[in-house]
Amino acid sequence: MRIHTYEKLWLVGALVLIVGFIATVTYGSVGLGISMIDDSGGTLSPNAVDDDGRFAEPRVEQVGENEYEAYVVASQFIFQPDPIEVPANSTVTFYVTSADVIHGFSVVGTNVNTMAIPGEVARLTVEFDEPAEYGLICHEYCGAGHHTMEGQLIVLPEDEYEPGGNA
Amino acid sequence: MNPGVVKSLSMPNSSVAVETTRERELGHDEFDPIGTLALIALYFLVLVVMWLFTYFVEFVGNGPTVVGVV
Repeated sequence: MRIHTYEKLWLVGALVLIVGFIATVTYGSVGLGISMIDDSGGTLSPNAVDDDGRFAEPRVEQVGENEYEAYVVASQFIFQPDPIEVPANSTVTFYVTSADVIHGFSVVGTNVNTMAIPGEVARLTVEFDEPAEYGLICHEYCGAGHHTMEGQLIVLPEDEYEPGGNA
Repeated sequence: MNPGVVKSLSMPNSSVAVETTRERELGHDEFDPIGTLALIALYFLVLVVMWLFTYFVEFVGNGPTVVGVV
């Protein structure tokens, strides 16, 4: 088979592009540690979120030096806790679930977002380097009050943070 | 591209027509659509730049991002 020079160029270019796409995503994953949210958070009874030790009292908990866990319950039409307060220079693992219908958990202006599904726990780990105030919105239509469903995520300077201050 | 072929399509005796009306013959590698090549190269370049911008500037630069062990 004879292939025209330009066609060879095109084939090589297309392959380079595909390899390039895969290489950048691999770099993001391996080099930068960017991760996808999966089902590793486990499940719970959607009717008994209050009975679950993690979600009975939505809160932020310190689990190690600079390591925190935030248990967040989304329900029509609020996030609990609100605001979510964490210190800067910390690694926070969010556990997000819903007490009624499907909600969204989106930290506005960042790459942090997930669905909050009844019966499922979304687990996502985020590193906060700088103090900041983020808006938190529901980005999955959840009912008549969906557009009012918002919260706040406040990254406080380390010296201003009080553990359990927002329980 | 080849006017002879185009003309022949509308004629009943195409094989004869091709022979008689062909004005010039192009070899396989003589066909040189440099304009198309330039256009596609430009398109390719735009695609690469857009990918780099989308991934490294808009996505990676827009932290915090969900991190974890692969």
